[in-house]
Amino acid sequence: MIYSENILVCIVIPLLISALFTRKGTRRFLVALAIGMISCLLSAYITGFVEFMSEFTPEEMSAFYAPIFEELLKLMPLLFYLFVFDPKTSSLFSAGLGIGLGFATFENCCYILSYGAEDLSYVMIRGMSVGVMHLVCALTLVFGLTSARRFRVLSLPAVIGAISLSMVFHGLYNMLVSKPGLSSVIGYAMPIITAVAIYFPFHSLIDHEPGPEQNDTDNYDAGKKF
Amino acid sequence: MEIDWFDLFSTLLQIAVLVFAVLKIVPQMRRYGNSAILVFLLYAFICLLLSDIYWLSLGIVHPDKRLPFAISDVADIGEQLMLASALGVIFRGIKCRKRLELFLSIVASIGLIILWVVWTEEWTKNVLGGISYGYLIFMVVLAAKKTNAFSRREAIVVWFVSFVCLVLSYPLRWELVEAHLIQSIFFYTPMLILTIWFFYKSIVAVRVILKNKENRMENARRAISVSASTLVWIRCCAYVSDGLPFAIFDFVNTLIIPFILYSVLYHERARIEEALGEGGAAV
Repeated sequence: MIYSENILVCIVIPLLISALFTRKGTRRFLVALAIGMISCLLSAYITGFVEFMSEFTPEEMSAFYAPIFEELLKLMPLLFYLFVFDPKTSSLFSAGLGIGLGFATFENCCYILSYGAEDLSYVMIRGMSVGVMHLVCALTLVFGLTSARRFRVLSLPAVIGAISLSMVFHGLYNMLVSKPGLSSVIGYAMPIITAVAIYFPFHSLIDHEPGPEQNDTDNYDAGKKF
Repeated sequence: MEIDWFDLFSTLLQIAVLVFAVLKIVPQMRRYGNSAILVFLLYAFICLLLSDIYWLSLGIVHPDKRLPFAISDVADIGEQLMLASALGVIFRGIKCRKRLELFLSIVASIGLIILWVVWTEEWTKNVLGGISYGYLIFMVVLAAKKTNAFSRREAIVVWFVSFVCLVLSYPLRWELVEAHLIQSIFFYTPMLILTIWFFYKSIVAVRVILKNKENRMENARRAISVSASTLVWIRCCAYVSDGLPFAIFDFVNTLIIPFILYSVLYHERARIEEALGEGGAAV
């Protein structure tokens, strides 16, 4: 057993103090990182509670249902930031990535403290897979939200649609790595392949994505590309 | 483990079609810029693709596992909501009365939810899936009304057959009657006839866009509403049937995906051309 709350306090306090001495963009990222870690802890509480109330074993819970709670807990702070502060798209992207990264970092910390870090190759595989998987999920979520907001169609169905895509990606990963063998190899490789696959077609769209203040008509800005 | 080969083939075909659709949409997004319709359609297709891959992988990795509510169900819900959102964006500028459509969609989705819950005894999946499916029905019916895709008589026939099949499916599912075969024939024949008719309408609607260079936007909108109506109808048929009829409807469900894809892509092209035309006129 590990005391995950203590680990959280230990990691988050220096992050928050360092946020006082940094400029706006960096501060936003540091705070998002800390919020991602808190989301990770809260999702572990909820998953544990549901596991206690249901007939599922911890392994089944983690393989089949944990992604639902984890992705929901990642979405909540992002939605709060989106609706309350109405940030620019680039700020939303950095906040989303910070939350995803914080979540992955805290999960990896707890995992390594629980199971040890003697095997470097396994730790590296975990870093490349879980870390990147949370990043891809956060990116999927933010891309869906920003696109919907940009064209003024940010509705409940659009938000649920975006979150369900990140849930199914996360769920597929968890299910594939739940059993050793070829399936886990495919599962470990899936996040990094997806990250590469979405980087090339979409990085230009992400870089040039305007904020809501630049959105003028329903005709979008597609004509400008010609 | 017993393998249902037709089901496996149908799923693999759907995966292939969806991969093709995703690969077709991404270059369009790069070429024409990011648009809400393409993003929603892309998300819907990826949700369906991952749902299929999840379902296949679950059968291989955990063959003995039967989940009351799986992640693939979440993906199906997401796909329906994203498709409905895409339709909402396409038809948002056109105003019309929608009380009757809303009422009929709510009645149809409540009927389906009760049927599924009684049939499978699973609450979460059926209630959540039913709500998202009801929303998709509402958007599709609204789209069909806005584009006049179906005549009044056609719409009445479709609604009538839908509700008769829905009502008939209750005793069939509960096996209350002795004459199961005869009732099955009465049950599935109108469904299959309407499916063929819907499919024919979709082909005609897409052909109109290809042949007719004028009014491309309107024709594309009509094609979108007809193909989306076909998709919703086929799913409704699939959801109330099992065995061979289910496999047939599932197969047709895959075939309709390219129709939706091409009509949306034509719509986007027409929208860009229209925007450029307006820009050119201003210059």
